[in-house]
Amino acid sequence: MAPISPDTSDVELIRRLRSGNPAALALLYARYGNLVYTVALRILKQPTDAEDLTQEIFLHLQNNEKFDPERAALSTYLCLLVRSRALNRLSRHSTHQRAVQKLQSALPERTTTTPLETASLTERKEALQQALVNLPEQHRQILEMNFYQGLSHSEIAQQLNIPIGTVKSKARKGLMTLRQSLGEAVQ
Amino acid sequence: MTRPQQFNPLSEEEQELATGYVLGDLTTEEVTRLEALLTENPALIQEIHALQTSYALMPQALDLVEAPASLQEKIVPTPAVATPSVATAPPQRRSRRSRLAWILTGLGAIATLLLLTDNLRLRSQLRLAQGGSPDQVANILRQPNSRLISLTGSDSDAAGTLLFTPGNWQEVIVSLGDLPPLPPDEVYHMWLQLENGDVIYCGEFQTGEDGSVFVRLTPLESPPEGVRATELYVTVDADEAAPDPTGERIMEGVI
Repeated sequence: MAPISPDTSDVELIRRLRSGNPAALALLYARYGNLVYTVALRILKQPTDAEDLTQEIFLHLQNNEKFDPERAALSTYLCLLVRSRALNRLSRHSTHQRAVQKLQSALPERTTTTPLETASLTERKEALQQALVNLPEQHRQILEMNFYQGLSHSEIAQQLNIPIGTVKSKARKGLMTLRQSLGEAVQ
Repeated sequence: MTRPQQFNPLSEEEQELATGYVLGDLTTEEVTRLEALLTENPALIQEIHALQTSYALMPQALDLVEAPASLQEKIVPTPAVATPSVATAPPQRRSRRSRLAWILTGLGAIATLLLLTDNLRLRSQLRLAQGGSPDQVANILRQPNSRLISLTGSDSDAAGTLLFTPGNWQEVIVSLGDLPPLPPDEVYHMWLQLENGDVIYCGEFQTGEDGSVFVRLTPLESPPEGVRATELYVTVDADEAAPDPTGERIMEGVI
């Protein structure tokens, strides 16, 4: 089997993985294993659970023919997949969120990757950290509770002991500010 | 931060609704309003995509935690994969027999990779197995010629694997996901197609609420000696009805 260059694109690695080249899996794991594990650990808290989920995600990547790396960034896909499955394990996907997902699926899907998603992992991390630092503390906290714990606004309001209207307003402002900070990099 | 209008020439209301849409906190009235605005302003869709991407990228700001080395070994066994071109490169002059042995070794390594990759998952799912046990899976995995057969949905995203040992069809382990959920009075049936046209019934199963199943099947029949199995497939029938091998195929896999 021909060796694979470490610079091989995600698109090509996925193609080779699907054609049965195990070296492609090795490179994909080297590239994204820690990212998947980190997100899994952040949500599930337990290292053994995070390991198990990471293994599940890479198994899914091998078996799933549906994901099209030409139309979406693999790193984004993996992060959303691990988040979704981790929250499922915690039974934190509320009926409301599922309903919203259905609504969202009615929108035309994005068919290209954004400049930020094609930047290097390091550049991407720096840009995102900078953008998140720009957020007022509680805006960021609310967004993170929503993202990593799958909490509804009312649950967040209860935990932070603030009105639900304030949570809703700060979550929206937080995301709006994050998006504005990232600017054309996410367009 | 900055001038929102620089990036999205949308009204404040449109931005508010787009953000709420991505966060999933719109009221029914807001959804209706947003739907109306979407028909008037296609730029709103672009803004929703930008907000979705911003939200989805959040975890990539995390400082990475190094996964345990043992995890890499489970997902990507080093000897079989890390240096495939070196580990499997044959000397230039080999006999046909040794070349064949090399190819078989390579295939074995790939099969081992697949088996090892599935191993932890299979074991972790044993808690949910319907009649399976860790020993039964381990027994099959220990067989040097164990095989994983891939099954995919005929008209759905369903996918999964069947683990078995050639020559020992009395026990197979099936792990499938994303199957369409069935009403309580219907069940899935698995079948083995033989090259002589005969079909062997392998067993029935139902999925969990998430459309996945992990089950050990114990077919009563095995393929006659010398007759090759060519295909696996899954049909669906009413629970009370006799299994029908000619029913619509929900999943298929080539052996």
